[in-house]
Amino acid sequence: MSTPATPPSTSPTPSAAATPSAAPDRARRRPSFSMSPRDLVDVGVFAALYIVVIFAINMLGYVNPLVMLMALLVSVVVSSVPFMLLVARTRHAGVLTLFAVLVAGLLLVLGHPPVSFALTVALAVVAEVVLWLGRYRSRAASVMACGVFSAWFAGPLLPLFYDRQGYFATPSMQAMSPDYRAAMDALFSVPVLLAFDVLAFVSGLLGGLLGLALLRKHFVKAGLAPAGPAPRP
Amino acid sequence: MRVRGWRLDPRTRVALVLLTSLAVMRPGGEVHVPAAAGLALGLAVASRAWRRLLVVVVVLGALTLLVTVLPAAVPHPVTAALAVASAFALRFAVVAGVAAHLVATTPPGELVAGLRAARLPRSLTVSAAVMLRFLPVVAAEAAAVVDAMRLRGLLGWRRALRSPVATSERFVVPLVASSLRAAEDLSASALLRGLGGAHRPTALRAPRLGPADALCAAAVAALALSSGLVGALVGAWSGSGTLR
Repeated sequence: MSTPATPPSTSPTPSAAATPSAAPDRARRRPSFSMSPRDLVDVGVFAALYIVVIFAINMLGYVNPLVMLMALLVSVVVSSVPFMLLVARTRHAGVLTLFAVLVAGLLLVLGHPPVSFALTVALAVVAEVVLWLGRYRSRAASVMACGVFSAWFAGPLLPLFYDRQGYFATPSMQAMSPDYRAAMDALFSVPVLLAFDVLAFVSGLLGGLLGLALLRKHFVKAGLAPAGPAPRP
Repeated sequence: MRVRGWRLDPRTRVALVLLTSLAVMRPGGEVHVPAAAGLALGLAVASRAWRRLLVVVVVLGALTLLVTVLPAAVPHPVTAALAVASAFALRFAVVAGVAAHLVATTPPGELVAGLRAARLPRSLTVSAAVMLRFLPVVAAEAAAVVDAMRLRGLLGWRRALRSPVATSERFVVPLVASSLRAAEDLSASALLRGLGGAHRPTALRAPRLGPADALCAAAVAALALSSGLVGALVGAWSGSGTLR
């Protein structure tokens, strides 16, 4: 994952260029995990964008718990735009996992539960598989990968299923008023949490579609995303 | 930067930030706040950073007063809410005090050399460094975009509910575009500086664990043990109902 010996992946893929046309199809299907410096910078920048977008929208959650749930779902949709742009720009094995480690690692340091870190990385690996199945060229696979990855938003609320007392003892919850915590305890029942988990996935799909539309409308024209199908990894 | 006496290895400085954050930000982590504050103050004294010491003392002192003295002196729902928010801010402040030592004493080259010595994959260290460098940049860009939307009357609940997609588009597209312009420049600069080269870079001052790191580890262990004991005592006391 860290070997830098190959040229940037945004240029025509080295493995594809080096492989003779008569090479077995299996060899061409093997994903390359080597990342160019441009890929690494992109992952860092998009991780920062992703986190800032999520935090900017979820500031609204301080109003009340219902607004918090709505803001979480809106942030799933809006944060999918940088996610889709990252997928379009890199189209590379390992990028999503690295992205997930960075985002979830920072959130872990800021107080998210460890189970959320594990879930985020696991979902990123599943999203990588989805992208690979689409050969990094399929728009449908990109949208599906976005939906799968977005399910990590369920992670920070997972302790509510098995340790409600511990969840309400976290520093961020202790910073809320007792009324807020009581309203949250009443609202966040198991059926509501399960519905939220499903809605996070669906919002991720919608966000993926929005991201695709904005890619076509803005970023391709501005030269910030590739216009045509990406080369094979 | 001048070398002043014993220096901590960059790996130790990073580990201190991570350990402090994980200890303080977890549920029940308030018992570790005094130990973490002591660590932040000790690091400032050890590196003779008197201005940082003053800032840490003032900020932590003010927040402690807001948490402990104010609600008792002025019993009111507002001061109670302020005390709760200050307790949350206090946890961040002690972590920031330890992180300030890392930022102030570790040039980027030394940090990267330390992370490389810790056998972390370069893909992780480079992208993490970019993310931490870009977070304030992107946050400032986001604030500028929100200001511009407000100035043009494009911000508001009614408008956002009426056309959520357009509102999202107006927020995200300029934010992403401006950030990516900066990313392109950074990529070009990194490539020119040799990032991605086949050779393993070397450091002028190779990271090496020494007596200062052992001393620091012993001090942190003592602080953790003492705050753990205090936490256990407080837990047992409150469990018996004495504090209620």
